[in-house]
Amino acid sequence: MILAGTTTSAGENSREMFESLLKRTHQQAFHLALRLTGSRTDAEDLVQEAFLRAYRFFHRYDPSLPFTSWLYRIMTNAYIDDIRRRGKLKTSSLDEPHPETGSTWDFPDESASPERLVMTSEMEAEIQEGLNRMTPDFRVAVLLADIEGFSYEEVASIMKTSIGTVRSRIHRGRKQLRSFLVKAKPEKYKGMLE
Amino acid sequence: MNCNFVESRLAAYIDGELDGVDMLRVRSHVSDCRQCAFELDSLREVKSMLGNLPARKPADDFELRLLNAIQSEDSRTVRVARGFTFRFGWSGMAVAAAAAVCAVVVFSFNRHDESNVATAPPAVAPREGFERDQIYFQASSPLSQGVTVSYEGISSNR
Repeated sequence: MILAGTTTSAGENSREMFESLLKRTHQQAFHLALRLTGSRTDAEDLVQEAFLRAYRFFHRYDPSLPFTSWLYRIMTNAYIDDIRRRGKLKTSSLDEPHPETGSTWDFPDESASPERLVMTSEMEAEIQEGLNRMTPDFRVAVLLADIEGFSYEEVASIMKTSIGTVRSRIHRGRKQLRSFLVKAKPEKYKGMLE
Repeated sequence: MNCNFVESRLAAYIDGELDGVDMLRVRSHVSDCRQCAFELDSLREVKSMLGNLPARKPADDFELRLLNAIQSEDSRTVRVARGFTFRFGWSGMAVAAAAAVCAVVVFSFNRHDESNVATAPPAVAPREGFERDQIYFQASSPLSQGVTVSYEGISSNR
């Protein structure tokens, strides 16, 4: 009777299934992780940690449910855990340099202010900086809804919280981002506030 | 219905996450309230900007690195049959080996009443056909068909 071994057919099938899921989802997971962390290196580390945790507990995964929801729950937990461990959960002041990057709000000057803002690389950088400054729990909720397109119910399931809390986090998160943009680049975004 | 009530629900309104009654309430209010209508448009703009962020791809070799990490994880993991999995290192190996020996000793002691002598299981060298870095312990109880605990992937340089 074999009690242990890594070469059982079930184990092989499980690993093949996991690798197939990894190949299909890792790019999407990376994009979310990049927006969460604001850094390619940190995003790769976060995605790898999430997949490793997922693999260790793959026997608990219910294949009838979306793999990405399960993976994102693991990934966002790992992300929040890491932030708490480093004691960086508090939101940064807009008047202070960023605690990680040391950057201040010295964005390229743009005189153009179209009525409908068109995404540029500068704007992407500004939005990412705003995301970096956002309260982490708000950031997770906002990104799951606005980048990944999850419903509030799905976000609540991933974050293990209530739909009411998700609604509040998304609302406050978007407002935080807007406040940051207006303060950082008033000539460009002032039209977003009355 | 006041502006505070509506303002706190604008994000959910934009996302279509309000129930029918609240959707109608908010819609009715913003049609009459210039300030809330402006706030609604502004928050829509924020959502639109986030949704339009370009998708960024990882480095070309990222998938391969992930697969390698999974493979490395596999080599450090013992998977017990039927999906029960736990991780352990050398100290865990020692505990597992001690437990296996104790179990065999107790089992043998109970089986050989005539002599009341517990026979420790012989150390078993890796048999032909097994990989070099596979370690296993075998209980040679006459009633057992061989209880094997294997641990694969222990490289010599660890």
